[in-house]
Amino acid sequence: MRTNFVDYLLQYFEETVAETGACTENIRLAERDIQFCFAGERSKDLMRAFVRGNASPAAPELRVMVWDGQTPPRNHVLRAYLFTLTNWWHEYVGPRGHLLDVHGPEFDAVYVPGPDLLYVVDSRRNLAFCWKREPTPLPYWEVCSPFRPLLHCWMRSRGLQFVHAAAVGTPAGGVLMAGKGGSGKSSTALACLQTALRYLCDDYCVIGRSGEKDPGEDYVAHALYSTAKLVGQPDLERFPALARHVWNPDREEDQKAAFFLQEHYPESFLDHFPLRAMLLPVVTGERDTGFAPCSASKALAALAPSTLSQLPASGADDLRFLGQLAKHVPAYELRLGTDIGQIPGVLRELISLQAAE
Amino acid sequence: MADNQAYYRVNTPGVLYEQFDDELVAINLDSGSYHSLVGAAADAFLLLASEASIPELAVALSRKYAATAAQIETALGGFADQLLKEKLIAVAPEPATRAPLHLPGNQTGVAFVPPNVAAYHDLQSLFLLDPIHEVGEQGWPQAPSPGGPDSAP
Repeated sequence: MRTNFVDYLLQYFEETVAETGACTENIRLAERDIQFCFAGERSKDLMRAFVRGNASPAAPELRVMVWDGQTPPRNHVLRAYLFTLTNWWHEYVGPRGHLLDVHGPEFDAVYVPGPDLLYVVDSRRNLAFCWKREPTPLPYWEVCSPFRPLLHCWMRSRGLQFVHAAAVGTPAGGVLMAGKGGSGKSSTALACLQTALRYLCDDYCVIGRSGEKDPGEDYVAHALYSTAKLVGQPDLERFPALARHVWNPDREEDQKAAFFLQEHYPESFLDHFPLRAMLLPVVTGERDTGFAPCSASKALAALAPSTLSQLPASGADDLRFLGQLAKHVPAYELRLGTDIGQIPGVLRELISLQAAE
Repeated sequence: MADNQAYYRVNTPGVLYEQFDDELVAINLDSGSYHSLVGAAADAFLLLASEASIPELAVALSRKYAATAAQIETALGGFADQLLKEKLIAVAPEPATRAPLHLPGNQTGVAFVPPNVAAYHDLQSLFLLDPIHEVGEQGWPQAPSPGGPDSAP
C-alpha cells in the first residue's frame, strides 16, 4: 500500500475531477508558490482564510489536491483502505495522528478523525492531498486555519517551521508572541490593528531563515492565515470595532468568534518581517504594560509544547528548530496591563530597542 | 522505584529535549507533558542519553559538583523515581564495556543542589490523541475545558 499510495490518490483525484470539474487557486505563502486544485467548488471557500499575496501561477512549488469521498475510488485497493481507515481509524492512526502503516520517510500521512480528513504530503514530488470522507461542512477551526498538517509537513521539508504564535511588527522587524491559548496572544495582536504596527497573525505563522546574516539576526516570520479568534463576550467588548465582522455570529457556545481580518483591514497586514524578539504574554491585571527579559528555555517552554501539540506528526526536527530559534532570538516576558491602548507603543519600543542592538 | 543495579536511558523517540546553558527542557510526546531540569538534573539527564546506572551518574556528577559520589547517589534515587514516573527514562540493557561517563567541560566544585524535575501537564489534553476516548464529533484535537498549569516540582 505504501509503495503506490500517492499514485493511487493522484489517480483517485483525477477520476473525481473528470466528474466534477476542477478549479485552481494559486497562492504565495512564506515566499513559496502553492497551487490548490479543488475537485468541484465545494471546498474552495477554505482559501478565504489565507493571507493573500501575489502568486505566480506559472510554476507552483507545491500542488495540493483537495476533494471529498462522495464518489469512491475505482481502485479497489484504495477503496478498501479508505473504507477501513475511516470506519476503524483507531486501528490505523498513531497517538500523534499519523497513519501507522503509511506514514514514513517517503511521505507524511495524517488522519484527523472527527472531520474525517486525510492529509498526505509527498515532499519529494511536491504533491499533497487533502481528502475528506463526506462532503459535509468542516469545523470552524479547520475553516480558520485550513490545511495545517499538510502545510506543516511540506514546509518542514523546505526548512520552514510552522509555529503556534501571534506576531505583529513593521517591515523593519517584529515580535512573536508565544503561549498556550488564553495567554493573551490574540488580544495583544488585535490591539495593534490600525496602529503603527501591522498584523501578521494571531495563531499560526511560519518561521524561516533568510540565510543572509548571523543566526541571531536572520529569522523571518511569514504570514499564513488572515484569521483572528476571540474567546468570549468580554473579549468582543474589548474590541467593539470587530463585532460587526464576526464570521460565525450563530456559533455554538464553545466556539470562538472568528474574523477574516484581511477582508476588513487589508492595510493592516504584513506578509513577513525579520524577527526581533519572542514575547511571552502574561496578563497581570495591573493598568500598565511592560516587559522584562526572560530565559531562552522559558521561551522554548512557551513555544514548543503548544506548537507540537497542535501539529500531528510533529517531532524531533520541529523541536530542534524551535530550540535554535529560542537560543538565538531574545525573549521577554510581556506583562500585559488592562490599558490596551498602551500595548502597541510598548511593543514598538521593544522592537526599536532590538533593531538598534 | 529506581534500582541502583539497573541501567536507564532517555525514553526516545517519545521524549525530545533541548539543552540550554543551565537548563534542559524535555517534552514527552507520548504523555503530553513537558519538563524543566536545572543544574545537576540537566547534567544527569544528558548522561542518561547514553545509558547509565545511578552509581555511574553519581561518580560522573561528583567530578563537577561539590558533593561525594555517595551523597549524590542518595539524591539521585528520588530523581530517577521522578523520571520514571514521568516516563522520561526507561530501563535499558546493560551496555557493553565502555569508558567512564564524563560531563562536557571541566568545571569543578559547583554547589550541588539535589536534582529535581519540574513537570507541566497543562497541555496534556491538547497533545494526545487517545484513539478510543478523546475524539468526539468535533474532531481532533478536542480538548476538555482548559485547566491551569500544574507544575509539580
